[in-house]
Parts: sequence; C-alpha cells; structure tokens
Amino acid sequence: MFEVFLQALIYGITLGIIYGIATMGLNLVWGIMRVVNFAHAEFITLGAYTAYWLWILINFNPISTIPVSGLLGFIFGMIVFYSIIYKFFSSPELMENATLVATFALGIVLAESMKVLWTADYRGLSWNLGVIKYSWFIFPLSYAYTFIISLIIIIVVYYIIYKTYLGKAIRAVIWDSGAAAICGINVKNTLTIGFSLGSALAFVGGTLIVVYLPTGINPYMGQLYLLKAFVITILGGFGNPWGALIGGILFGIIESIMPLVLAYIPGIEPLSFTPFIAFLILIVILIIRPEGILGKRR
Amino acid sequence: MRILFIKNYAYISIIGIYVILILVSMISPYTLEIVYYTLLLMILAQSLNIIMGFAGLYNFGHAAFVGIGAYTFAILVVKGVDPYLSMIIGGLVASFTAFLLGLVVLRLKGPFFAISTLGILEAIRYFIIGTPKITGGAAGFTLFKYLGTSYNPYILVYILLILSVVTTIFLIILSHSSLGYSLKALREDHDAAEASGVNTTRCKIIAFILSAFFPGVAGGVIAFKTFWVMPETIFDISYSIEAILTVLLGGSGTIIGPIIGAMIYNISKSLFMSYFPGFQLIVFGILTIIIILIAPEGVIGLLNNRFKKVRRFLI
Amino acid sequence: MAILVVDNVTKKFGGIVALRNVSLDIHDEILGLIGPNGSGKTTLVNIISGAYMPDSGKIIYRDNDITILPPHVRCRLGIARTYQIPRPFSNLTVLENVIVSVINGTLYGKVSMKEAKYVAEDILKTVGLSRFKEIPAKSLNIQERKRLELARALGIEPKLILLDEVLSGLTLSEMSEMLSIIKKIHETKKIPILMIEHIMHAIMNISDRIIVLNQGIKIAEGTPEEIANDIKVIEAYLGDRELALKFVKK
Repeated sequence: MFEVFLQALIYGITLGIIYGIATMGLNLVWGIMRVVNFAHAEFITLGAYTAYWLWILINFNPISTIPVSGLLGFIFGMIVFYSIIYKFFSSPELMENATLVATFALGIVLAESMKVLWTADYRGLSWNLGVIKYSWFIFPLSYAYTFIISLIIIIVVYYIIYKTYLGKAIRAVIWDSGAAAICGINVKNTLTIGFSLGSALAFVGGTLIVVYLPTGINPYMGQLYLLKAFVITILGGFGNPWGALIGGILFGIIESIMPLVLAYIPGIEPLSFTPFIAFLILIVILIIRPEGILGKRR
Repeated sequence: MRILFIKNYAYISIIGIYVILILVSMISPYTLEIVYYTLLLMILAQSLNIIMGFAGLYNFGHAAFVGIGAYTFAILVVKGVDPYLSMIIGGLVASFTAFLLGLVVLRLKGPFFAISTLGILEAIRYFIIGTPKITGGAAGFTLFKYLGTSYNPYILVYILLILSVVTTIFLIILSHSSLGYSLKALREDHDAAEASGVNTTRCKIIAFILSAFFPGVAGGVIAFKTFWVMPETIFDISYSIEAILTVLLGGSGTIIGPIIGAMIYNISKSLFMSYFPGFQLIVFGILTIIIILIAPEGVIGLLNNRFKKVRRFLI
Repeated sequence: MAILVVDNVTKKFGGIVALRNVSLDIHDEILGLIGPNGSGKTTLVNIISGAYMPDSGKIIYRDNDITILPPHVRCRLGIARTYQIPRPFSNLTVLENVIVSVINGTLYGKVSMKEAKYVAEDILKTVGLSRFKEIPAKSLNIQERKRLELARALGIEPKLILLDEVLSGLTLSEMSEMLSIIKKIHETKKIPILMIEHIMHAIMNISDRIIVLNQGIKIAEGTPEEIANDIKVIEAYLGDRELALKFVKK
C-alpha cells in the first residue's frame, strides 16, 4: 500500500518537472510582457509532434529530439512574436485584450492545421528501454533518462537566467520594463528573445511529455494542458519561472496520487475526476489568495 | 422611452433579418437546418455579447451554460416534467451556476478570467464523465422514451427564433439602461468607473448571470433536437469558440453585430464544409487575427466608419 | 463644520513612505494642495477617494468614518475626483461619459435615464462641452478631456470635489477659462474643493487656504499669504519669497 503511494509520488515528481518546464515558458512570457499566450498549449503539442515525427522518420528518441525541438520552438516563437504580438505594442490596453484573442485564434489555427495535416488520430511512440526493478519499485528507464535530462535543462535555464546578461535583462524587464529601458536594456530585443525562449521551453516540454504518453498525441491535447498550466501557474505564483517548476511538481504529484485516493470513493471514475479536482483546488486557491489581481492596494 | 427610438432604421434592419430567416427556413428541410444553426449561433453570440461586448470580459466557458441547460433539461424530462418548462428551468439553473462561479472568477483580470472560464467548462465536463452513476458519465443518456412522439422540426426552430428575438429585445433594453451604461464604462476603464460610482463587482456578476440564461435555454433545445445528452458533445468548446469568433466578426458591443456575424459565419461555414471540409476553423482563426489587427470593431465597425449612409441602419 | 477630516493617515508602498501621519480638514472652501513632485499629493487624493487604503489613520466624511468603504460607495456619498491624466471612457460619447456618473453618483437609484440625460446635458453646458455631446471621448484633445473629467465629477452631484492637477497641459487662456468654471461651481453650488496644483499663480489666486506636503509630511498650512511667507515652504518648494508673494490674491 505504502509502496503504491511512493511509486505514484515518484512518478508524479518526474512528470511534474516536465509540466514545470512546459509551463515555465508561459510564466516567463507573462512576466516580461504581461501577455498570456493562449497558443502556448499548441506550442507544447507541436513539440510533441516534433518528437513523434523524428521518431518515425529518422528514429530519433525523444532525448535526442530535444535540441531540435528547442531550436524549432525558438524560431517558431520568433516568427509568432514578430508577425502578431509585436503589432500590439503601440497601445497597452489593446495589448491585454487583443493578444488574448489573437493568441487564442492562433491556437485554433495551429490545432486545426495539425488536424488537417496529420489527422485527428491518436498517435504515440513507445520508447521502451526496459525498467529499473527494485523489489516493489518499478521505474521505466525512459522515465529515468527523461528525469535526468529535465534536471539538466533546468540547470541550463537557471544558468541563462541568473548568470548571463540576457538573463539579467529578462529579470530587469520583469521587474520594471521602463526602468530597464532607461538602464540601456534593449527591451524589444529582450522581449523577443524572452518570448522565443518561452516558446522553446514549451516545445521541449512537449517533447518530454511524449515519453509519458505512449498513445496520447493528438492535435487537441493542448486544451487540457492549458488548464493544467494555469493551475500550475496559480500554484507557483505568477511571473515567477521557478514558481512554475514548483507548481508543476506539485501538480504532478497531485495528478499521480489523486486517482489512488479517488479509487476508494465509490461511483467515481478516478482518472476523469482528477481534472475536476484540479480545478476545485484552483477555485479554493483563488478564493483564499486571489493571485492575478493587479493591486488594488488595500 | 423616447431614448429608445433614436435610430428608427436600425429596427428595420433587425426585423428584416428575422423575416429573411423565417422565409428561408420554409424553403426546404436543408435550409431549415441552416436557419436552426444560424439562430443557435446568434443566441450564443448575443448572450456572450453581454459579458464580452458590454463588460469587456472574454468568456471561453460560455459553452458550459449550454451544457448545464441541456443536462438540466434532460434530467427534468426524464422525471416527467414538461419539456418547454424544462428548457426555461435549464436557463435558470445556468444563471444560478453563473452566479456562484461568478463570485469567484469575476475578480480576475482579463486573460486570467478567460482561462478560468475555460477551466470551468472542462471541470464540469470531467465531473460528468467522472461520475457515471449520477450523471450518466461519458455515455450520457437518451431521451427517446420521454420525448419520442412529439418531434416536429419546425417547432424547435421557432423556439429558437422566439428566443433570439427575446435576446435581441433584451439587449436593446440593456444597452439603454443604467446597467448597460455602467457595464460599458467598466469595460472602458475599470478604476475610473469605480471612481464614478459604478459597483463593478455587482455589475459584472449581474452581466454574467444574464449572459448565462439564454444559452441555458438553448441547451435544452439542443438536447431536444438530438434526444441525447453526453458530455463530449454538449460541453463542446466549439460553442464557445464559434460564439467568440462571431461576436468579433460582427462587432463586439453592438446589438446587430452578433446577428450579422452569425449569419456571415454560418453561411461561410456551410460553404466551407461543402468545398473545403476541415478548413473552416483555420480560415476563421486567421480571419480573427486579421480582424483584431485591422478592424477590431468587426464588420459593423468597418461599416460604421466607412459608409455613413449605412449608419442609420445599424445599432 | 468640516466636510472631510483626514486623521493621521500613513501610507507605505513597500519601503517608500508616501504619506506620514498626515492630517487635514476641508471646510466650505477651496483648499489648495501643493508640494514638490513625489510629496504624496495624488496618494492622498487616492486615499480620500478610496482607491487606496491607508496603513493607519482614518478618513472622516461628514462625521462618518469611511476609511474602509470602497470607491464606488464613497462616490455615491458625494466624493468626486478627477484624474491627473484624464481617463475618459474612450468609446462612449461625451454625453454618455457624464451620464455614467449621473446614474451612479449621489442620484443613484433616484433618477431615470431620461432625466439623467438632461442633467448630463446641463453639466456639459456648464463646462462648455455641449457641442461635443455625441462625439466619442477618444476624439477629444487634452483641454476638452480635462473638462470632461470635471464634467464627470460634476455628474455625480458631488458634495466634495477632488481635483488632481486639472490645469496641467493647458495654455494660459485655457487655464483661466478652467479656473473661472471652477470658481463658478464653487460659488453657485457651494461645493468644497480640494485642488492639487503646480501652477503657482493659479493656486495662490483661487485658494482660500493652502496645505503644503513635502515627502509625505505636511509642512505648512494656512492662507496663501502665510504660505508664501513660510520659510519651510520656500525652502522646499517655492524658491523665491518675493515672487511668491506677488501672486497672492492679486
């Protein structure tokens, strides 16, 4: 019994880190631009498809796909940024609502395009490398590799954000873009790179998630992730990339353990009920500590 | 009441559209279907306009109200309640749900409100899937046994017609009422509205409640038409998406905007489905982005700005 | 007697103390509020109008403690404010902008839409914006927007008006027009006005009394002559005593 929970806990942490990586991008973008990218989920989906196609076509396993995803995500983010988001910079009120709709529409366009290109069939790749067995503890080797790679990615991101000039610029812009501009930081370039970085992280997150989803890749997988991303962001705090990570881990744990708990309640389908519980947690947090409200300083 | 009749010609346009719809519906069963879907979209878009166009809040979970109305209808009908009464109760239950949820999510700013409404939609859908014993789960349940005999396709279309007309009249009254003015003010500048005495929280909640009623009733109509409720189809995010696109296309915040938007959208969608199936949402998505960039006020906004003569026909 | 009493209010933003133990009262007068930039003037107006809550201290309006009341309730009790940078309801017409205040101010629930329209039209006449009635507010220039701010404040049929740099951005002739409108409002409707201003000659001329803030502290209070002669004020703000005296009640 205890072993089952512990196993779920470990699964949850490893999956949660990936959720965190996928969401960090969203958080980062919001932090620097106060823009919620509604197409973020579709970016994640694209990352997943990248992993799938590289697996099918040239036999790349997900880990090897990561650099490709990252690069693809970065470029893609830049294209999106310049073609759509940059246009709204002139007026701040327009920014908030217009980007909301524009990124939402973009999300639809991307999802539907994927459906047209690759059909709505569920696809997956089974990256079966065997398992680690230690008495009751079973852990697929692929999960282990993914976990290690996730840690490496986090260290890389940490390095970028805290040890490079770019990272300092990003943090400055998060804090106060006006002041950053006065200090000689090219805010526009910072935002471009920041957005592209967020996009790259989304793609990488999508690629990693594929390992945990042997059959689940489809054009619409994004929708559920958008909601999860939101819950994760609330759990971890807005505008804080590390918050996304912590939130992601917490969420992963909850998602793994919740079905076990729910199995004891009769009449409830554990797997489907979990998103509902996630949302309930969201509501509770919102009631107690409404994040996301711009200061009515009370 | 004098304030209501400033733009007489506008009423001609609206009445004209409804007359066209009635006439078209009588041509063939195929056109009847088209009119059905057009009216449905119209109702969804018009009701969404209350919270989106007037109050400036983007509700991605609008479809949830449809679903709640549909399930309420289904549950009541199974218990033997008159179908038409069930539809109205469906609308009321949807409004009540809006009230409860509104208390929590209306505090959030723009994008966060939007995401949380999406969350509401998904949460309710999963709740139903996850509780098969109580709500029928993913398979849903059928209503043949309870409604089987009384199916007449025209009745449903006329119910939607009446509902749409009621919605339109409601919107006209709202836009000239003090609540309407207060909502528009809070859409423009939340803090300045507060400083002018607008109780923004109360106004937002009322708008949310009002916007939920009409889709709730429409949900009952949908359930009646298909004789079946199940979470995948009835809590379909397409209802939300198409409603939002329609409002933007036609002109957010105007009364005739969603009406015209619904007609344009539905007609184009039918055309697309015949010739380029699968592409309609892509095209509309791109169109939306273009609209946001170039004509944020939709078709109505464009007409208003370019053609002064047409202005008299718009409201 | 005092329509508003600010009682020992302190307000901090993080490490910055915007207001420190500030007390003042407003009687039936035009009360000028001056001080160098950053001295806390707008913060004080925000606290009186309800946009911010003080960290300590009380706001007493007509003998009632309103410290925790939200902005819209204070508005309905008769406290009106304008914004330093005008915040009109851009896509509504000028008339509609004022109607919003009328239906949500002290007349809340007591006026029909038709009556509100007439009241609003009257107010537009008072501030001289009648010809812009049906124009969307976003089309107005800065002077017209300032007048719209004032019109919206009047719309709530206020018992106290808080003006935040209502003259900034205006030319000399526009300024004197605005000042005469304000004076007329004060005299005919008998409404106390708290006026933040930087334009020395204007504020010295129009105010019955003046309060001076510097870095969140009230450093002086008195008639314009007393203020012009006050060493602390001169040091902090005015610079030249002779020049200041010249502007007093010409």
